[in-house]
Amino acid sequence: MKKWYPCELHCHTLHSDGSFSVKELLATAEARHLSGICLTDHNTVSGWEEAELYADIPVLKGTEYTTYHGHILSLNAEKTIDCFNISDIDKELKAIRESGGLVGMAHPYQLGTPICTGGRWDYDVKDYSLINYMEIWSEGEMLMTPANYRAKSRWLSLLDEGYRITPTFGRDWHRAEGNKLTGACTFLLIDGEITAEKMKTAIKEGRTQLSLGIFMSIDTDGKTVGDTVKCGKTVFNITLDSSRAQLFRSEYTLYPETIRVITKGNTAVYEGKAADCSLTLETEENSYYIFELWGKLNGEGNHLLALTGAIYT
Amino acid sequence: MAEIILKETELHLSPEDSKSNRYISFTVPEGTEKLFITYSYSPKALEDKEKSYKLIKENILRDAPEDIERYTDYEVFMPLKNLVTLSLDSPTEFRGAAHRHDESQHHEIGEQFASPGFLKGKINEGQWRLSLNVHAVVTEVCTCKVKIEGETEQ
Repeated sequence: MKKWYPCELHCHTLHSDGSFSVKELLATAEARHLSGICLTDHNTVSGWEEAELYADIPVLKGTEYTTYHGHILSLNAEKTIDCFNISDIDKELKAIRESGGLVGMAHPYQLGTPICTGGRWDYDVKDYSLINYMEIWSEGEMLMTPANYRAKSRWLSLLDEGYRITPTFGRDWHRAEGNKLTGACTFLLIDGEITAEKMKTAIKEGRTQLSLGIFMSIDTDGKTVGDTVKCGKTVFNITLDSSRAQLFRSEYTLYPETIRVITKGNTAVYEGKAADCSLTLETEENSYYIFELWGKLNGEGNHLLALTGAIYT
Repeated sequence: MAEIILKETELHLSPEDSKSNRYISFTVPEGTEKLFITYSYSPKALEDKEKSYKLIKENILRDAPEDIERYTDYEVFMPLKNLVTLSLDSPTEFRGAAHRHDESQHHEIGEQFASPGFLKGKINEGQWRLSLNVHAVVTEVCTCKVKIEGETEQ
């Protein structure tokens, strides 16, 4: 039985510049009803041991290589890279991949040095198939935050070029205080009980959904987000689940209004009322389909509330 | 127990040093059980508001020219700060990093314990390397002081 689990994929602790200990991070994650986290302290792996000692929820061990020209996320790699002496970015990304790790681009459109040192991704990656995932949504609202909508747009253009890159939300969590939209997370689609290994598989296979609290279950003849389906007449069954949003109701409210399906060129091929539904689309060859949920945030505006990874054809 | 100073040095950085590394090599003698790193740099923040405005505008123009009008409040990015972090390598392996914003730090690395960011383990004799990773220098000069001590059993 596959289930969407709420996870936070980008966390810092006292092992780098976070304000919480690993224990406090884990306790806060549980208090926020998260089912798993990725521990991604800057440039070190020293927090992993504590995570092993204290974690009651799965922790996928990672590092955020905070270099001078971009922040590289590495998950579950056997080896570390010398992130301050990068002359060939593809070579370093390959090294992470070859030691069993997943490669992610953290907040690629954040303002860089000196505002957030190295925070803007300036590396000229030659082979984007080395990138497993891109953090296209950081803490805050999607459309009000230039770094978020630029990243989303870049991600879509890479999908247009044929790369299969998993989208993620990452709070870039440094402390429990002052967080915006506290229920926001990446939902990972996992078969059975969640484990760190299954979190890794979900990210690798593109089974993600970035959300402020509501997720959409998508089914097309037994296939779903991250899968490849045959093109042609395709029926998608969609159900909405707002149980996570309910847990954060006292802090903010979400009111879904529209479901949009987008494909190549950021083109909407469907737009309809946000409700459990079954929709039929004429899907094209070598394309992708992303499901978006739009609606009100705190009773106002038209905000992106959730976004799935792609279903490919 | 005896503590000896393995290295004590002062470096003067300027904005041109941003995005580069400064290396401090030091020799760890046989029988060393712990290393202590005392590190500070100053100043931390750029107090000159006019210069800050200029740097922030350049930053936005470089990284998000299309959104220049959406970034209306430059004060949220102030004060701009110097950031020089540490990373450590033994003769054979990476021994962690202190990627943090504190301008004054003290770290201990030993077999049983290491300060957050560093990796505990045997303190092998030989040539070690402390890297000063100069992420950003926004002030005219930034002075870094480093003292590395070794603790032996005798």
